[in-house]
Amino acid sequence: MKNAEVKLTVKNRIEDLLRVNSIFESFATQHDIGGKLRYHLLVSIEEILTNIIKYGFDEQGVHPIHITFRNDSGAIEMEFEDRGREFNPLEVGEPDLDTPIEDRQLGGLGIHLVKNMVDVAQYRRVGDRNILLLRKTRQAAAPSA
Amino acid sequence: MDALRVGEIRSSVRELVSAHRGPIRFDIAAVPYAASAFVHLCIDASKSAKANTSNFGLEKVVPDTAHIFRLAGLQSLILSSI
Repeated sequence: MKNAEVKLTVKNRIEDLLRVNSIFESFATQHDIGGKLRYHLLVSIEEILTNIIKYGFDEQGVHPIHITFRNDSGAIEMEFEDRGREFNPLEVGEPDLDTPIEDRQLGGLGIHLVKNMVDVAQYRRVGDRNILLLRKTRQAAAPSA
Repeated sequence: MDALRVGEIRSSVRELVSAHRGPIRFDIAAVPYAASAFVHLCIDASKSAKANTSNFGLEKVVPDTAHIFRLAGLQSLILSSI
């Protein structure tokens, strides 16, 4: 059965990335999401999730992260929701790409990749929840070279 | 090569790279997927190679992975593509 929307909840553990990827792959197959579009969405999922898992929660323990994949009129939307500390990943400073490799700082690269791989990235804080929406149109993704 | 897999190999790769003398090449023909965790691993390897007065590079890079390295401003690490 082809669902226009898939919702799942995972824990703030890096191992749960496998489960998210697996569910996304199934969603992508159902909705003919392939090539570069699929690749860009997979990278975006990984970067956002690892960011939330590594930096999102002040206290130790298990915290849920809610994810929605949506096939919406020619675009794919992905929404990430957590109850971690208020944090807008889109405000993370851009990495200095001109710095020689030996002097490179490691922060900010993942979010930089996401910003370059989706068409829309919107963050909002609603109550105690961080909600990040990513949207990518199908037309914007050329087939893999 | 996602964050989970990179976490599994990071310490082994660091150990190998820091003990090696001479140019370091990663043949990544069998790496169809890479995100920032793998880029960070390569930055580490490059720094380690430079500390040993050598150099680091990637060989047989698939187009999608090459795109990630270009976005990261690290196209200079790509020595050959497939």
